Amino acid sequence: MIRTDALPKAQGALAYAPDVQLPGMLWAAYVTSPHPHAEIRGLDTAPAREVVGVVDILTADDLPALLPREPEPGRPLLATRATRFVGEPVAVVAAETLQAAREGAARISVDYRVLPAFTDLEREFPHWPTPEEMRSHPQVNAHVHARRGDFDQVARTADHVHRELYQTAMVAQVPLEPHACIARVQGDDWYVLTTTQTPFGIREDLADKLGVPQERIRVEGTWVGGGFGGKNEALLEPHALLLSRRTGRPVRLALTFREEFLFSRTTQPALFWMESCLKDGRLVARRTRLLLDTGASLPGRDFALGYSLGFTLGPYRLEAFELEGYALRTHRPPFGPHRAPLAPQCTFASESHLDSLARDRGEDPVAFRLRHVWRPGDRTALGQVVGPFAAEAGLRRAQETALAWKASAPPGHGVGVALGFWSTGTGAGGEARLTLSPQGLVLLQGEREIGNGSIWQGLPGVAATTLGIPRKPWRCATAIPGTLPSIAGSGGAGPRRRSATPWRRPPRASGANSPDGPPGPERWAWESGAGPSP
Amino acid sequence: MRGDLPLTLRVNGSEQTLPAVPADTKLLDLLRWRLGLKGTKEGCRTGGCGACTVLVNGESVLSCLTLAREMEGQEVTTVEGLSGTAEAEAVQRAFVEAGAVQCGYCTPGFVMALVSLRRERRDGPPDLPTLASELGGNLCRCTGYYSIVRALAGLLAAPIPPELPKSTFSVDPGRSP
Repeated sequence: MIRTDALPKAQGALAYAPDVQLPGMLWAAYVTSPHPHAEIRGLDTAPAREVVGVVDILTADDLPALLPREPEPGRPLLATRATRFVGEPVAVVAAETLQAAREGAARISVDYRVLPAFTDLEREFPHWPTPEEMRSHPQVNAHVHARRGDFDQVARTADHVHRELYQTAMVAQVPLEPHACIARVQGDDWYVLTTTQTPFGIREDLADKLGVPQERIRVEGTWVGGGFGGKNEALLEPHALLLSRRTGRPVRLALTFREEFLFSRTTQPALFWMESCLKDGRLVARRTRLLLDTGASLPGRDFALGYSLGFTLGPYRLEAFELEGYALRTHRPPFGPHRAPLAPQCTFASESHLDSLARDRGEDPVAFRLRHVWRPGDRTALGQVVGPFAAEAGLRRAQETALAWKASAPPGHGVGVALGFWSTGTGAGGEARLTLSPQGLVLLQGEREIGNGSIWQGLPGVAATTLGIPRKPWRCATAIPGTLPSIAGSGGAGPRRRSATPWRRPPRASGANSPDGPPGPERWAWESGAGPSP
Repeated sequence: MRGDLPLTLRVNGSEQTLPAVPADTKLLDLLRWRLGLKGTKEGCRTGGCGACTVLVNGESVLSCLTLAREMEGQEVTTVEGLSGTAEAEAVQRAFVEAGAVQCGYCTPGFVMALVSLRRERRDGPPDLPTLASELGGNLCRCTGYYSIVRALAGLLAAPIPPELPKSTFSVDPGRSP
């Protein structure tokens, strides 16, 4: 299938957010914290105001007068008394040119008193902490615990318990297109053009952060030059909007690549303590304990913990399991999903652990997986009944391919197999509207094409197939939030499934993922408290 | 501003004279913000990603590392100037047909780099691993590169490599570690 957006992209003919220029536009640049944790004792903007071309400077002191209500404590738009991570914005400078904005930003002097920082899980926890230690740990933002059966009891009667520690490192999305936006506030109209996976989500987030009613905010998404989970939150937009409101001019704000690594939301390190029980050669139970560094995130932004921890059980049959996870607030940059929130890391730990278990037994790792992988009719950790599931066929195919590769691998090259799976289209709703207009059939929906074809190619395809209409005369358009109900953002194949849901015929009564299936975990607890103040 | 000087260069075949160009202006910013040629993309600005690749006198150059004033009297070609020519279209079509364009932000840079590589005088047509290795200065975050390798295979009329191109992206394609 040839994608309709591909050729104009290859010709450089499509505009992305960093390409947009509005008449009278100001350029803005950040002053960011060089310290992971420091008290701000003073901030002098006077030298910056002397730079020719500097028009306005925004600091935390300006916010109370600009925002209709106090920002949430611990969720400052700009660092107030203390900085919480390297790269945290402290001030924003708007100027006639980018050079003047950067020069102004460089001349702002901030008097920091450096404070002790918590940036390293391994240093903080030289030994694996007990649940009691974790319950009283001051940096715990959230805790999740789920189990079925009694892992400890299974472990007591098991032939072998395989125990391992896995760690994963920080990983940033780094789309080649840096975050960029242009804001223009005129009266009650708060307009922002931005690169985002979630125009509707950005609007909600902006309403929360600025205290402006959603109906006054217009978010226009552009072509997205890569998202990978990193363009879901209003990061630059609040600052650009506030500067535009104060100066009465459009304001452009874009991240440098350095800021992209620090200020955008990155996946932070995690430690996985994996335990698997073998009985008569079979994997019968698994326990995962996870310590997740969620950086300077706040409660509510640690969703990855509950969302992905189950992936450490893999798509494998288990009689008993236990999952225990803690999200810790540290002085690293705030947590964000990178190609699915923590799922790659959980899968890495699960699959590596499985390989090691198979190796320990002297068994072929693919054969070991084939003995345990879910078949249709099995149930997942959450109690869903497995419907059609391609893993078995996929593994058999991988086995053949891997053997062929292994036979031809040059010295020093290795071949491995891993099995990943993902849940998609769960929960969040969506709506798309089909209009017959003089231009033909227009499919209006609320998400942005992030590059995988899910929107531009996938949605018209689903609609055309389901409704029995030829797909040729279609145009796909993106709604500006407000014209459609709220829609979750573009991630993986999710948008296609969500926005296409209204057209789908009722599911056949095959029992796939039936809510009448056996119950899920016996215990499922989620605690997300206010957490410590920064 | 002090140090601003006029600059005359050729861009996409037409002569441009700019009255005042600061000494520290990069070619990337001159093209994008003074000449409005936004097909040249701004990525890392540190020479690491290749998104800003343009041709200077026919050879590929990273415009984020090039001072605009060095371009006095030179011939600069951007993706806008090349699009519509047979050599650009061959590369663009190969990318489109191989599914190598996803978010598309890196693609103009790949197109420019590849056109330049294909123009280079060689003893014979480059083989696939050599060409892929020479494209190492262009990063793509979406595709995982396999579809780009497929596009290169299409361009060279070479067989599409098996699913795992083993040493395609090693620095020295001739040697295994």
